Amino acid sequence: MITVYNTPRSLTFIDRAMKGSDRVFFTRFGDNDIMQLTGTDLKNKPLMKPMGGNRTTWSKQLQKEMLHSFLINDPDFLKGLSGSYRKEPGMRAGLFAPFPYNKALEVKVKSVTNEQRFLNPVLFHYLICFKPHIFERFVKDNIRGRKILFIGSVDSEVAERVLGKIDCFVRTPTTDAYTKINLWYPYLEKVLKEKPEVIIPTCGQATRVIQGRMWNAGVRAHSIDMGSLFDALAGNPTRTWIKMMGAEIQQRYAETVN
Amino acid sequence: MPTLSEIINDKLDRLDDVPEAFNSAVKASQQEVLRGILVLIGSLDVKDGIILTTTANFVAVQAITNQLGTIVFATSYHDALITFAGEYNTQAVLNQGYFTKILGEAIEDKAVYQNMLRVSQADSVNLLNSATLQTNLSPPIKNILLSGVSNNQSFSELVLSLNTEILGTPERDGSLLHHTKQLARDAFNISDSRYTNIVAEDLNFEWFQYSRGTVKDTRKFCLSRQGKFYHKTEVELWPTTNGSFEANPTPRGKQWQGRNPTTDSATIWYLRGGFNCLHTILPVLESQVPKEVLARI
Repeated sequence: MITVYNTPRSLTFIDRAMKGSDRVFFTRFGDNDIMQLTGTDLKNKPLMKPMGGNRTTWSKQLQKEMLHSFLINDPDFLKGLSGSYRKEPGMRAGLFAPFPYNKALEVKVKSVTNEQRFLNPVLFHYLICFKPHIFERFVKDNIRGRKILFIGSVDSEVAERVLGKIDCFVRTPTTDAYTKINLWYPYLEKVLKEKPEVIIPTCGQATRVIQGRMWNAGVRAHSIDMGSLFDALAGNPTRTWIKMMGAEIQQRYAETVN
Repeated sequence: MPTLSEIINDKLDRLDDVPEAFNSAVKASQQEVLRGILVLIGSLDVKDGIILTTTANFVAVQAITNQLGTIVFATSYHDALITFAGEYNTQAVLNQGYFTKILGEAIEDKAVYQNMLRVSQADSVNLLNSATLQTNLSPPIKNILLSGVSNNQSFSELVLSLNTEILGTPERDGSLLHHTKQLARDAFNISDSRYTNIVAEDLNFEWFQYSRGTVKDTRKFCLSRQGKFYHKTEVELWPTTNGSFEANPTPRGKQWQGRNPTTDSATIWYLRGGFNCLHTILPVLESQVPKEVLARI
């Protein structure tokens, strides 16, 4: 049986891991990712159209690279997964509540791995919306003030409102970043030589891929996949939760933290 | 890694495709805009199907007109604009990929490049935002509404007039699309050229190729340069020599067709052929330039 921890327990895992090692990766696998991993939708039909807020186009190569990340078995390579986690205060349909089709997702997950325990995939989204003081404390203790590499399509100035000063920025396409990965990955490789301490990858399915690539390349950093959180700050309504709570988050971080 | 020609084709195709996708979305949103306005004109005083000439109706016309920008932004236009703004970023990734490919190593995404992109994006959004739409869409729609109230037009005739204005006809674009069509295309193309140029300038590129295939209505200025290689100093002379290489300043009024009047030796890099120009002045390595062209300088 697959277990997905609640947000407090997930946070404790990540926090402890980051305090205990200089090499910790947290990668989230949401519903679209699980479908990309298997190459089929919830009705087990092949993925034909671009999917999700990132408009990702499925390909065998993407599937292979995502699977590679998903199957990394290391206590410091932490994975979040869309599954049957406990509904927490404030969660409702469209706003981080577990998907009604989680059982179908779990069947897919079981077809590719025997792993059974995962962290919460909406951890940081949930915290920034409903427990902002805990989110702030995490950022303050583990991210802000360190040498940060931000990877994504959101303007680095916007990301700085939450993370503080960003030292390196790797621009990725706004949608379907994986199809153009060969155009931007060489620059990421170059920037990694500057030895960032914290990496925040925010490029949709390509995030799952580069987490695997960077892990394999032996990158020593804390690489934390925070997902669509930065779209909310930029006012890009790419997800239902952003349409519901984005304006509030945007307003809260309207001014730079620095 | 894609080949150089694949990157160039992708970059150039997107100069057409991205504004086109935005404009298609705008066209679709016009139906929603019309629906929004039709809901509001339901508040007009009408008797036996005729719009009454009353103070209340004149006040209503003003109120409806004042809401036009908001009405448009409540439709799928808003999402289309966000998607369009995001494409600037993807185009920058392509440009970085282009430079990486020809230089053989990844180029740094410097703060100055990032700022240029930020400014271009903001400029475009400002040209297409709620306030600008309010200014540009209000006059024709207000005229239709005022005419309806002043002339005791039938309600069905008013609906028909609004329909024609907002959705357009086979010969004429609807009002929203009419406003965005060229703006979106020019803004996206100029941004691409500015970004390319600022990187090329920073990396000291000396040679350029006037790129992009022939499209319908390609102007002579572009046609005569298409695919050809030029030195930086030659390009900078175009605005003053009207494109010929002789030091022969362009007589006032004898500009090339479609030239943007603000074109000079600095702005030629991103204004290129002028309004609606889809060409790009692509930086190239000296090793890519034919010997006979190199001999020209």
